[in-house]
Amino acid sequence: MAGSRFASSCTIEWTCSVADGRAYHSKHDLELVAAWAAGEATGPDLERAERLLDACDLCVVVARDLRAITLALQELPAVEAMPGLPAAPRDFRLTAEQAARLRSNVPLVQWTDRLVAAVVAFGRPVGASLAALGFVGLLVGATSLGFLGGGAAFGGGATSASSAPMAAAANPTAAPAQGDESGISGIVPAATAATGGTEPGPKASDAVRGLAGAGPGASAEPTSVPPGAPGATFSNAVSQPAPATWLLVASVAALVAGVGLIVIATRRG
Amino acid sequence: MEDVRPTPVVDDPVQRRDMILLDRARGGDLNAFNDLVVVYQDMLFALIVRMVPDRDSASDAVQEAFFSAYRNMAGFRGGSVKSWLSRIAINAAMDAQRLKKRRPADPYPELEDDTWQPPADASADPVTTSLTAERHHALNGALARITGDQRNAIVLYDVEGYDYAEIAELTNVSVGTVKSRIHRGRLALRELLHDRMDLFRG
Repeated sequence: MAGSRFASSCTIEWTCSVADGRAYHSKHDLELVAAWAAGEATGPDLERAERLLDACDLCVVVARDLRAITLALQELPAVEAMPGLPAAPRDFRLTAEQAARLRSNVPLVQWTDRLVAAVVAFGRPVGASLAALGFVGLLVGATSLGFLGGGAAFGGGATSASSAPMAAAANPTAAPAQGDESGISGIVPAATAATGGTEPGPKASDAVRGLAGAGPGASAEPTSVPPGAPGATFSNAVSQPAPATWLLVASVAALVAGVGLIVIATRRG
Repeated sequence: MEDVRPTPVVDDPVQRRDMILLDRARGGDLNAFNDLVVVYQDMLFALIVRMVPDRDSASDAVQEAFFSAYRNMAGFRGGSVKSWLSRIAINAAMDAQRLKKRRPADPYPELEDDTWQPPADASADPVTTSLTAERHHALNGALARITGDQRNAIVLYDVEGYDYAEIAELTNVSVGTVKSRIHRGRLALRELLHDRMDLFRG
Protein backbone atom coordinates (compact mmCIF):
# COMPACT_ATOMS: atom_id res chain seq x y z
CA MET A 1 0.00 0.00 0.00
CA ALA A 2 2.52 2.48 -1.17
CA GLY A 3 1.98 6.03 -0.09
CA SER A 4 -0.55 5.36 2.61
CA ARG A 5 1.89 5.00 5.44
CA PHE A 6 1.52 8.55 6.79
CA ALA A 7 -1.44 9.73 4.80
CA SER A 8 -3.89 9.84 7.66
CA SER A 9 -1.78 10.47 10.70
CA CYS A 10 1.14 12.64 9.66
CA THR A 11 1.24 16.26 8.64
CA ILE A 12 4.45 15.64 6.78
CA GLU A 13 3.70 15.29 3.17
CA TRP A 14 4.19 11.91 1.62
CA THR A 15 7.48 11.72 1.92
CA CYS A 16 11.08 11.41 1.13
CA SER A 17 11.04 7.78 2.14
CA VAL A 18 9.17 7.09 -1.04
CA ALA A 19 9.63 7.88 -4.67
CA ASP A 20 10.75 11.51 -4.92
CA GLY A 21 12.35 11.68 -1.53
CA ARG A 22 15.03 14.28 -2.10
CA ALA A 23 12.59 16.95 -3.17
CA TYR A 24 10.75 16.75 0.14
CA HIS A 25 13.84 16.18 2.24
CA SER A 26 15.32 19.47 1.13
CA LYS A 27 12.37 21.22 2.79
CA HIS A 28 12.78 19.46 6.13
CA ASP A 29 14.01 21.27 9.21
CA LEU A 30 17.51 19.84 9.55
CA GLU A 31 18.31 22.00 12.56
CA LEU A 32 15.50 20.21 14.33
CA VAL A 33 17.03 16.91 13.27
CA ALA A 34 20.39 18.12 14.62
CA ALA A 35 18.80 19.08 17.93
CA TRP A 36 17.15 15.66 18.11
CA ALA A 37 20.43 13.92 17.32
CA ALA A 38 22.08 15.87 20.14
CA GLY A 39 19.29 14.80 22.50
CA GLU A 40 18.09 18.37 22.95
CA ALA A 41 14.69 18.31 21.30
CA THR A 42 11.95 18.52 23.92
CA GLY A 43 8.18 19.01 24.08
CA PRO A 44 6.56 19.88 20.77
CA ASP A 45 9.96 19.94 19.06
CA LEU A 46 10.56 16.37 20.11
CA GLU A 47 7.22 15.30 18.66
CA ARG A 48 7.89 17.13 15.44
CA ALA A 49 11.35 15.63 15.19
CA GLU A 50 10.06 12.13 15.78
CA ARG A 51 7.33 12.55 13.17
CA LEU A 52 9.92 13.85 10.75
CA LEU A 53 12.28 10.96 11.38
CA ASP A 54 9.46 8.46 11.10
CA ALA A 55 8.59 9.88 7.74
CA CYS A 56 11.95 10.60 6.18
CA ASP A 57 14.72 8.07 5.77
CA LEU A 58 17.16 10.74 4.63
CA CYS A 59 16.60 12.67 7.85
CA VAL A 60 17.42 9.50 9.75
CA VAL A 61 20.68 9.28 7.84
CA VAL A 62 21.42 12.92 8.67
CA ALA A 63 20.82 12.29 12.37
CA ARG A 64 23.08 9.24 12.29
CA ASP A 65 25.83 11.17 10.48
CA LEU A 66 25.60 14.04 12.94
CA ARG A 67 26.05 11.68 15.86
CA ALA A 68 29.06 10.10 14.18
CA ILE A 69 30.59 13.53 13.52
CA THR A 70 29.98 14.62 17.10
CA LEU A 71 31.70 11.50 18.40
CA ALA A 72 34.64 12.07 16.07
CA LEU A 73 34.92 15.68 17.23
CA GLN A 74 35.06 14.55 20.82
CA GLU A 75 37.85 12.18 19.93
CA LEU A 76 39.99 14.84 18.29
CA PRO A 77 43.35 14.92 20.03
CA ALA A 78 44.54 18.05 21.72
CA VAL A 79 46.75 20.04 19.43
CA GLU A 80 49.47 19.76 22.06
CA ALA A 81 49.74 16.08 21.21
CA MET A 82 50.60 16.67 17.58
CA PRO A 83 54.28 15.82 17.45
CA GLY A 84 54.54 16.46 13.74
CA LEU A 85 53.96 20.16 14.21
CA PRO A 86 56.84 22.55 14.73
CA ALA A 87 57.14 24.06 18.17
CA ALA A 88 55.70 27.54 18.59
CA PRO A 89 56.98 30.14 21.00
CA ARG A 90 55.11 29.37 24.18
CA ASP A 91 56.59 31.66 26.77
CA PHE A 92 54.06 34.43 27.04
CA ARG A 93 55.41 35.90 30.26
CA LEU A 94 55.64 39.66 30.28
CA THR A 95 59.01 41.35 30.52
CA ALA A 96 59.52 44.23 32.93
CA GLU A 97 59.65 46.62 29.98
CA GLN A 98 56.39 45.36 28.53
CA ALA A 99 54.73 45.60 31.93
CA ALA A 100 56.00 49.14 32.45
CA ARG A 101 54.77 50.17 29.02
CA LEU A 102 51.38 48.59 29.57
CA ARG A 103 51.07 50.15 33.03
CA SER A 104 52.17 53.63 32.12
CA ASN A 105 50.16 53.86 28.95
CA VAL A 106 46.97 52.28 30.13
CA PRO A 107 44.54 55.07 29.16
CA LEU A 108 46.53 56.04 26.08
CA VAL A 109 46.89 52.44 24.87
CA GLN A 110 43.23 51.73 25.42
CA TRP A 111 42.22 54.90 23.66
CA THR A 112 44.56 54.17 20.76
CA ASP A 113 43.35 50.58 20.52
CA ARG A 114 39.76 51.75 20.40
CA LEU A 115 40.53 54.39 17.82
CA VAL A 116 42.37 51.91 15.61
CA ALA A 117 39.55 49.39 15.98
CA ALA A 118 37.02 52.06 15.07
CA VAL A 119 39.02 53.15 12.05
CA VAL A 120 39.36 49.55 10.88
CA ALA A 121 35.66 48.87 11.44
CA PHE A 122 34.16 52.06 10.04
CA GLY A 123 37.00 53.64 8.08
CA ARG A 124 35.96 52.41 4.68
CA PRO A 125 32.25 53.33 4.74
CA VAL A 126 32.89 56.66 6.46
CA GLY A 127 35.81 57.38 4.17
CA ALA A 128 33.77 56.54 1.08
CA SER A 129 30.95 58.82 2.27
CA LEU A 130 33.36 61.66 3.00
CA ALA A 131 35.07 61.24 -0.35
CA ALA A 132 31.73 61.20 -2.17
CA LEU A 133 30.59 64.31 -0.29
CA GLY A 134 33.87 66.00 -1.08
CA PHE A 135 33.61 65.10 -4.73
CA VAL A 136 30.07 66.42 -5.01
CA GLY A 137 31.03 69.58 -3.10
CA LEU A 138 33.98 70.01 -5.42
CA LEU A 139 31.74 69.74 -8.47
CA VAL A 140 29.18 72.15 -7.07
CA GLY A 141 31.84 74.60 -5.93
CA ALA A 142 33.72 74.44 -9.20
CA THR A 143 30.52 74.91 -11.15
CA SER A 144 29.58 77.91 -9.03
CA LEU A 145 32.97 79.45 -9.60
CA GLY A 146 32.78 78.72 -13.29
CA PHE A 147 35.75 76.34 -13.44
CA LEU A 148 33.60 73.83 -15.21
CA GLY A 149 31.99 76.23 -17.64
CA GLY A 150 29.51 77.80 -15.25
CA GLY A 151 28.12 81.25 -15.82
CA ALA A 152 30.01 83.37 -13.29
CA ALA A 153 33.72 82.99 -13.55
CA PHE A 154 36.59 85.04 -12.27
CA GLY A 155 38.10 85.52 -15.61
CA GLY A 156 35.08 84.69 -17.66
CA GLY A 157 32.97 87.61 -16.63
CA ALA A 158 32.95 89.17 -20.02
CA THR A 159 31.96 85.99 -21.69
CA SER A 160 29.26 85.42 -19.15
CA ALA A 161 28.05 88.90 -19.51
CA SER A 162 27.95 88.65 -23.24
CA SER A 163 25.92 85.52 -23.01
CA ALA A 164 23.63 86.96 -20.39
CA PRO A 165 21.01 88.32 -22.73
CA MET A 166 20.80 84.98 -24.48
CA ALA A 167 20.48 83.19 -21.17
CA ALA A 168 17.91 85.64 -20.00
CA ALA A 169 16.01 85.20 -23.21
CA ALA A 170 16.19 81.48 -22.87
CA ASN A 171 14.88 81.71 -19.35
CA PRO A 172 12.02 84.13 -19.26
CA THR A 173 11.41 83.54 -15.57
CA ALA A 174 14.79 85.01 -14.72
CA ALA A 175 13.77 88.59 -14.22
CA PRO A 176 16.36 91.33 -14.37
CA ALA A 177 17.95 92.14 -11.07
CA GLN A 178 17.43 95.42 -9.34
CA GLY A 179 19.96 98.07 -10.15
CA ASP A 180 20.12 97.38 -13.84
CA GLU A 181 22.37 100.29 -14.54
CA SER A 182 25.08 99.08 -12.23
CA GLY A 183 26.31 96.35 -14.53
CA ILE A 184 25.41 93.54 -12.23
CA SER A 185 22.03 92.94 -13.69
CA GLY A 186 23.31 91.23 -16.77
CA ILE A 187 25.48 88.74 -15.07
CA VAL A 188 23.25 87.65 -12.23
CA PRO A 189 20.45 86.34 -14.36
CA ALA A 190 23.04 84.78 -16.62
CA ALA A 191 24.72 83.02 -13.74
CA THR A 192 21.41 81.99 -12.32
CA ALA A 193 20.31 80.62 -15.62
CA ALA A 194 23.64 78.91 -16.17
CA THR A 195 23.40 77.10 -12.86
CA GLY A 196 19.90 76.07 -13.68
CA GLY A 197 18.20 78.34 -11.19
CA THR A 198 15.12 80.41 -11.91
CA GLU A 199 15.54 82.88 -9.08
CA PRO A 200 15.86 86.50 -10.03
CA GLY A 201 18.97 88.48 -9.22
CA PRO A 202 18.32 89.51 -5.64
CA LYS A 203 17.65 85.92 -4.67
CA ALA A 204 20.63 84.51 -6.53
CA SER A 205 23.14 82.55 -4.51
CA ASP A 206 25.66 84.36 -2.41
CA ALA A 207 28.42 82.79 -4.42
CA VAL A 208 27.14 84.27 -7.61
CA ARG A 209 26.42 87.57 -5.97
CA GLY A 210 29.86 87.70 -4.42
CA LEU A 211 31.57 87.14 -7.70
CA ALA A 212 29.29 89.19 -9.81
CA GLY A 213 31.59 92.12 -9.54
CA ALA A 214 33.83 90.48 -12.06
CA GLY A 215 31.25 91.26 -14.66
CA PRO A 216 31.23 93.90 -17.33
CA GLY A 217 31.33 96.73 -14.85
CA ALA A 218 34.38 95.37 -13.11
CA SER A 219 37.37 97.59 -13.05
CA ALA A 220 40.94 96.45 -13.41
CA GLU A 221 42.07 99.08 -10.94
CA PRO A 222 42.07 98.60 -7.21
CA THR A 223 39.05 100.26 -5.73
CA SER A 224 37.36 100.38 -2.41
CA VAL A 225 34.26 98.85 -3.80
CA PRO A 226 33.18 95.90 -1.66
CA PRO A 227 33.03 92.52 -3.31
CA GLY A 228 29.75 91.85 -4.85
CA ALA A 229 29.05 95.46 -5.50
CA PRO A 230 29.17 96.80 -9.02
CA GLY A 231 32.72 97.35 -10.08
CA ALA A 232 34.29 95.00 -7.53
CA THR A 233 37.66 93.69 -8.59
CA PHE A 234 39.01 90.21 -8.90
CA SER A 235 41.44 90.82 -6.08
CA ASN A 236 38.64 91.92 -3.81
CA ALA A 237 36.74 88.78 -4.58
CA VAL A 238 39.78 86.69 -3.78
CA SER A 239 40.75 88.51 -0.63
CA GLN A 240 37.28 87.90 0.81
CA PRO A 241 36.42 84.43 -0.42
CA ALA A 242 32.85 83.76 -1.36
CA PRO A 243 30.96 80.83 0.15
CA ALA A 244 31.64 78.87 -3.00
CA THR A 245 35.35 79.14 -2.29
CA TRP A 246 34.81 77.88 1.22
CA LEU A 247 32.75 75.09 -0.22
CA LEU A 248 35.62 74.17 -2.50
CA VAL A 249 38.12 74.19 0.35
CA ALA A 250 35.86 72.11 2.58
CA SER A 251 35.19 69.69 -0.27
CA VAL A 252 38.87 69.19 -0.98
CA ALA A 253 39.43 68.60 2.75
CA ALA A 254 36.58 66.07 2.87
CA LEU A 255 37.88 64.31 -0.23
CA VAL A 256 41.41 64.07 1.16
CA ALA A 257 40.15 62.94 4.58
CA GLY A 258 37.87 60.34 3.00
CA VAL A 259 40.58 58.88 0.78
CA GLY A 260 42.98 58.92 3.72
CA LEU A 261 40.51 57.04 5.91
CA ILE A 262 39.97 54.43 3.22
CA VAL A 263 43.70 53.94 2.78
CA ILE A 264 44.32 53.67 6.54
CA ALA A 265 41.43 51.26 7.03
CA THR A 266 42.61 49.11 4.14
CA ARG A 267 46.20 48.98 5.40
CA ARG A 268 45.21 48.28 9.00
CA GLY A 269 42.56 45.79 7.99
CA MET B 1 40.20 55.04 40.52
CA GLU B 2 41.32 51.43 40.72
CA ASP B 3 39.43 48.97 42.84
CA VAL B 4 42.07 47.57 45.19
CA ARG B 5 39.74 45.70 47.51
CA PRO B 6 40.89 42.12 48.07
CA THR B 7 38.72 39.60 46.29
CA PRO B 8 36.62 37.34 48.55
CA VAL B 9 38.26 34.07 49.57
CA VAL B 10 36.96 31.05 47.67
CA ASP B 11 36.93 27.36 48.50
CA ASP B 12 38.31 25.93 45.28
CA PRO B 13 42.10 25.69 45.82
CA VAL B 14 42.87 26.42 42.18
CA GLN B 15 40.70 29.48 42.16
CA ARG B 16 42.11 30.54 45.50
CA ARG B 17 45.63 30.30 44.17
CA ASP B 18 44.61 32.30 41.11
CA MET B 19 43.00 35.00 43.22
CA ILE B 20 46.08 35.30 45.41
CA LEU B 21 48.31 35.63 42.35
CA LEU B 22 45.97 38.15 40.79
CA ASP B 23 45.78 40.22 43.95
CA ARG B 24 49.56 40.30 44.15
CA ALA B 25 49.79 41.19 40.46
CA ARG B 26 47.33 44.02 41.01
CA GLY B 27 49.61 45.23 43.75
CA GLY B 28 52.40 45.54 41.19
CA ASP B 29 54.07 42.11 41.48
CA LEU B 30 54.94 41.19 37.89
CA ASN B 31 56.21 37.74 38.93
CA ALA B 32 52.79 36.90 40.32
CA PHE B 33 51.18 37.82 37.01
CA ASN B 34 53.78 35.77 35.14
CA ASP B 35 52.99 32.81 37.39
CA LEU B 36 49.41 33.07 36.16
CA VAL B 37 50.71 33.25 32.60
CA VAL B 38 52.72 30.07 33.08
CA VAL B 39 49.72 28.29 34.59
CA TYR B 40 47.33 29.15 31.78
CA GLN B 41 49.38 29.75 28.64
CA ASP B 42 49.29 26.18 27.37
CA MET B 43 45.59 25.81 28.05
CA LEU B 44 44.81 29.06 26.25
CA PHE B 45 47.08 28.22 23.35
CA ALA B 46 45.42 24.82 22.91
CA LEU B 47 42.03 26.51 22.98
CA ILE B 48 42.88 29.26 20.53
CA VAL B 49 44.94 27.30 18.04
CA ARG B 50 41.82 25.59 16.65
CA MET B 51 40.04 28.88 16.20
CA VAL B 52 42.60 30.88 14.24
CA PRO B 53 44.37 30.24 10.95
CA ASP B 54 47.72 29.03 12.23
CA ARG B 55 49.99 28.66 15.22
CA ASP B 56 51.57 32.06 14.72
CA SER B 57 48.16 33.69 14.85
CA ALA B 58 47.37 31.64 17.94
CA SER B 59 50.59 32.80 19.60
CA ASP B 60 49.81 36.39 18.71
CA ALA B 61 46.27 36.09 20.04
CA VAL B 62 47.40 34.53 23.31
CA GLN B 63 50.12 37.12 23.78
CA GLU B 64 47.62 39.88 23.06
CA ALA B 65 45.22 38.29 25.54
CA PHE B 66 47.83 38.38 28.32
CA PHE B 67 48.65 42.00 27.48
CA SER B 68 44.98 42.84 27.66
CA ALA B 69 44.59 40.93 30.92
CA TYR B 70 47.51 42.82 32.44
CA ARG B 71 46.06 46.15 31.34
CA ASN B 72 42.60 45.32 32.63
CA MET B 73 43.31 43.28 35.75
CA ALA B 74 42.21 46.19 37.93
CA GLY B 75 38.74 45.73 36.48
CA PHE B 76 38.49 42.03 37.39
CA ARG B 77 35.43 41.66 39.60
CA GLY B 78 35.83 38.14 40.91
CA GLY B 79 34.73 34.76 39.59
CA SER B 80 36.95 32.32 37.77
CA VAL B 81 40.30 33.68 36.61
CA LYS B 82 40.45 30.86 34.08
CA SER B 83 37.12 31.91 32.56
CA TRP B 84 38.17 35.54 32.58
CA LEU B 85 41.41 34.74 30.75
CA SER B 86 39.58 32.41 28.35
CA ARG B 87 37.08 35.13 27.51
CA ILE B 88 39.86 37.60 26.77
CA ALA B 89 41.70 35.03 24.65
CA ILE B 90 38.57 34.11 22.70
CA ASN B 91 37.98 37.79 21.96
CA ALA B 92 41.55 38.03 20.72
CA ALA B 93 40.97 34.94 18.57
CA MET B 94 37.82 36.46 17.11
CA ASP B 95 39.81 39.56 16.20
CA ALA B 96 42.33 37.31 14.49
CA GLN B 97 39.49 35.57 12.62
CA ARG B 98 38.19 38.92 11.44
CA LEU B 99 41.65 39.75 10.13
CA LYS B 100 41.79 36.36 8.47
CA LYS B 101 38.48 37.07 6.74
CA ARG B 102 39.97 40.21 5.26
CA ARG B 103 43.14 38.45 4.17
CA PRO B 104 42.11 35.06 2.87
CA ALA B 105 44.91 32.55 2.53
CA ASP B 106 45.25 28.80 2.79
CA PRO B 107 43.01 27.83 5.67
CA TYR B 108 44.59 26.07 8.62
CA PRO B 109 47.58 24.56 6.81
CA GLU B 110 49.00 23.10 9.99
CA LEU B 111 45.82 21.40 11.07
CA GLU B 112 45.68 19.82 7.64
CA ASP B 113 49.25 18.66 7.91
CA ASP B 114 49.50 15.17 6.45
CA THR B 115 52.65 14.38 8.36
CA TRP B 116 50.86 14.32 11.68
CA GLN B 117 49.74 11.01 13.12
CA PRO B 118 47.93 10.54 16.41
CA PRO B 119 49.85 8.78 19.17
CA ALA B 120 49.47 5.07 18.59
CA ASP B 121 47.66 3.00 21.17
CA ALA B 122 49.57 -0.14 22.07
CA SER B 123 46.55 -2.25 21.23
CA ALA B 124 45.68 -0.40 18.05
CA ASP B 125 46.32 -2.13 14.79
CA PRO B 126 47.80 -0.22 11.85
CA VAL B 127 44.51 -0.13 9.94
CA THR B 128 42.62 1.42 12.85
CA THR B 129 45.41 3.92 13.43
CA SER B 130 45.44 4.88 9.79
CA LEU B 131 41.65 5.27 9.68
CA THR B 132 41.68 7.40 12.81
CA ALA B 133 44.36 9.63 11.33
CA GLU B 134 42.39 10.00 8.13
CA ARG B 135 39.22 10.79 10.05
CA HIS B 136 40.94 13.47 12.11
CA HIS B 137 42.53 14.90 9.02
CA ALA B 138 39.19 15.13 7.22
CA LEU B 139 37.51 16.61 10.27
CA ASN B 140 40.18 19.25 10.81
CA GLY B 141 39.99 20.21 7.16
CA ALA B 142 36.20 20.57 7.35
CA LEU B 143 36.42 22.49 10.63
CA ALA B 144 38.67 24.97 8.93
CA ARG B 145 36.02 25.68 6.30
CA ILE B 146 32.94 26.39 8.41
CA THR B 147 32.24 29.88 9.74
CA GLY B 148 34.30 31.25 12.61
CA ASP B 149 31.31 31.49 14.95
CA GLN B 150 30.29 27.90 14.29
CA ARG B 151 33.87 26.67 14.64
CA ASN B 152 34.35 28.47 17.94
CA ALA B 153 31.16 27.03 19.36
CA ILE B 154 31.94 23.49 18.18
CA VAL B 155 35.54 23.58 19.37
CA LEU B 156 34.51 24.91 22.77
CA TYR B 157 31.66 22.43 23.17
CA ASP B 158 32.71 19.22 21.46
CA VAL B 159 36.49 19.43 21.66
CA GLU B 160 37.16 21.43 24.82
CA GLY B 161 34.14 20.30 26.79
CA TYR B 162 32.69 23.65 27.88
CA ASP B 163 28.96 23.69 28.53
CA TYR B 164 26.45 25.90 26.73
CA ALA B 165 26.24 28.51 29.50
CA GLU B 166 30.02 28.83 29.69
CA ILE B 167 30.30 29.23 25.93
CA ALA B 168 27.52 31.81 25.96
CA GLU B 169 29.41 33.76 28.59
CA LEU B 170 32.75 33.37 26.84
CA THR B 171 31.43 34.51 23.48
CA ASN B 172 28.89 37.09 24.71
CA VAL B 173 25.88 35.52 23.02
CA SER B 174 22.77 33.76 24.31
CA VAL B 175 22.61 30.05 25.06
CA GLY B 176 20.10 29.67 22.21
CA THR B 177 22.57 31.21 19.79
CA VAL B 178 25.30 28.86 21.01
CA LYS B 179 23.07 25.83 20.45
CA SER B 180 22.05 27.06 17.04
CA ARG B 181 25.66 27.64 16.02
CA ILE B 182 26.64 24.17 17.17
CA HIS B 183 23.79 22.47 15.31
CA ARG B 184 24.31 24.45 12.16
CA GLY B 185 28.05 23.91 12.41
CA ARG B 186 27.61 20.15 12.65
CA LEU B 187 25.26 20.22 9.66
CA ALA B 188 27.84 22.26 7.76
CA LEU B 189 30.51 19.71 8.69
CA ARG B 190 28.31 16.90 7.42
CA GLU B 191 27.78 18.76 4.17
CA LEU B 192 31.53 19.23 3.76
CA LEU B 193 32.26 15.62 4.69
CA HIS B 194 29.46 14.27 2.58
CA ASP B 195 31.75 12.23 0.34
CA ARG B 196 33.78 10.87 3.24
CA MET B 197 31.07 9.91 5.70
CA ASP B 198 32.08 6.26 5.38
CA LEU B 199 35.10 7.18 7.50
CA PHE B 200 32.82 8.17 10.36
CA ARG B 201 30.07 5.61 10.12
CA GLY B 202 32.23 2.94 11.66
